[in-house]
Amino acid sequence: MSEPLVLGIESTCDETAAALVQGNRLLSNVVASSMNEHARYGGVIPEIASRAHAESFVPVVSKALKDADMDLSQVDAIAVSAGPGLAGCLAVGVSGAKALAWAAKKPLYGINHVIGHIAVTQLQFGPFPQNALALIVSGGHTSLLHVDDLARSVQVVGTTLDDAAGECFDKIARLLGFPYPGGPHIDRHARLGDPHAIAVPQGLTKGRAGAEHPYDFSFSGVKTAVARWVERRQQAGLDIPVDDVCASLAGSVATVLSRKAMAACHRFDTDTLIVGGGFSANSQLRGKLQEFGDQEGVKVRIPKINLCTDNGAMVAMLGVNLVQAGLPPSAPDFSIDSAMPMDRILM
Amino acid sequence: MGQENGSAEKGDDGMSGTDTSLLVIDTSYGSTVGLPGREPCIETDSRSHVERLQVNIAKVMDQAGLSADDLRTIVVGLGPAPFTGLRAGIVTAKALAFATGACLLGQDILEPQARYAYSRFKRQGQDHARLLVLAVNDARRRQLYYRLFDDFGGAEAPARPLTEMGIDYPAAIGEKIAAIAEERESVDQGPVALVISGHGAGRYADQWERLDQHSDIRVMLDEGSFLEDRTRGTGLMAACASIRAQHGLIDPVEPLYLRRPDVSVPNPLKHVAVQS
Ligand SMILES: [Zn+2]
Repeated sequence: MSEPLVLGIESTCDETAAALVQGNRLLSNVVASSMNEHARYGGVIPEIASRAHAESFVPVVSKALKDADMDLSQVDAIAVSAGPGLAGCLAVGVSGAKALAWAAKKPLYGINHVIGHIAVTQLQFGPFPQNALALIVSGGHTSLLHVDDLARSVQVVGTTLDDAAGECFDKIARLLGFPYPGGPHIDRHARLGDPHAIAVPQGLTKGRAGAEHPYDFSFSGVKTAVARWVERRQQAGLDIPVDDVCASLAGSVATVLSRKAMAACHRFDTDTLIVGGGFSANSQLRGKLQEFGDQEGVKVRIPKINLCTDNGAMVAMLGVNLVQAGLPPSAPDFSIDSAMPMDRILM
Repeated sequence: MGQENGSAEKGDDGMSGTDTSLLVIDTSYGSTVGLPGREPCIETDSRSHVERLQVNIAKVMDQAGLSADDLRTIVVGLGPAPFTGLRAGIVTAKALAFATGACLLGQDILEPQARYAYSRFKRQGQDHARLLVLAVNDARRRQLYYRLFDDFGGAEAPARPLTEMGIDYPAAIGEKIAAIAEERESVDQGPVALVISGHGAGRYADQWERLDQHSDIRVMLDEGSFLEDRTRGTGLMAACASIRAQHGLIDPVEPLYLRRPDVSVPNPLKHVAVQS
């Protein structure tokens, strides 16, 4: 087969997205976000997101095909995120994708959204090396994965024991009064502050806990420490040095993630770290990973900002890997799995 | 309701009720998929849409010896119904129409439900009483979707609803309907027979007391959805959609949720006043 052409469809959270990828070339990439509708509630409201998916599904798919000057009959396969994500949102994308696949007589792959986040880096950097390590960081996930074969074999090396990194940022952002989503605000203020201004713990890096969980993460301590510090300042009638708070938080989180990722690279003797997920747009993390990678001789592949957030390209790209590996498509009655485990690539 | 958005995208040559290239999809309760005039595929489990719906569509099409390319018209149920299942059916229908170029028509389920009840109760010797139909669907959380219909102006005319579609507790619906029925009595100078028809009609039998107390309103309960009638259900959906389309009543193909989304705003935190 020449390079497979795959339509990827994404609807796990607040983005309805579709893209066409051929081989590792991105032909079109359309994203409709319902984020503005959630902003006033301070977080994603599943029912509102799901309604938006139902409205946007066909227009987004249609535009992705049109932008690539393609017709549904020309694609080799369709891929759709089957999990993890919000059940009501997944149900819309998967139902629509099943209908498209049946009507157009195309194989359908129900894929793992999180694995898509790392697959998408191939659009920039080409195929994965045989033995790669991946760091997934998003609002819902913080994990280190060992990837032997992106289509068939992914193992979880470490994961967060409590909050995800993005979640920790969101909570501090709310405490500081930033509008939703708060991550970009913390990022911007952090660039202006002193990362050493506040002593912030680095979870699971020291002592027995650190030794027992060398590749796991914990961010609840960071969150609590920052929140207490801010509250004490308020009670003492002092103003809050917002830039320093943000810089200390971001610096601590970025350092822990980078240090543990590098340690895992050494442990698995790999020279390539793949990074993915919405939180990989964070500039402190991007900077730290590059810095540590240069020091340690590890090539760090971080996607462009517009490919960090949820999109259809990541789904299509993983679909290309599955087609190229010759894997059979998902069964017609496959389910969604809102808690799809990270080592499951395909439904 | 009754919002119009121009005409259907494709020609209306696939409109006749016996046309085998017309597919009905409804997920207002469980799910019903079928080609009018043929055995439909009915699921009673309202949580199996993602897994079963497309499989069932493929099955009824296969059994009829049809492929996706043969589809000319798709009629999809718009509810009113609880959220998730309804959406699965509508997005499926929209995606099928997009991929095949079939004409897509949306049809609320209360009008065919009312027609169904009317056709079965009108000949039952109602002592010349005026026959009204309250079509309902179970909205869960002890509420019902409802709409009250008057006599039908004949098989080929759109229904004449007396109320907007609504959602409320059965007792409150009973209050409203009793008031309307009383008004009709004084206009018509005669008794009123009322059929309450659909999912929830019988389930909330004890809550229609306001109507029962009323000596001049005879209430008959008709539990169950017309879509579970294997011989007539899909045909009624198709016929209603067809009549509406012929009268230029093309509804936007959007779910009739009626209920506002559940929104729980996260706990307020003590904010530090900053500009961002
Ligand atoms: Zn994601």
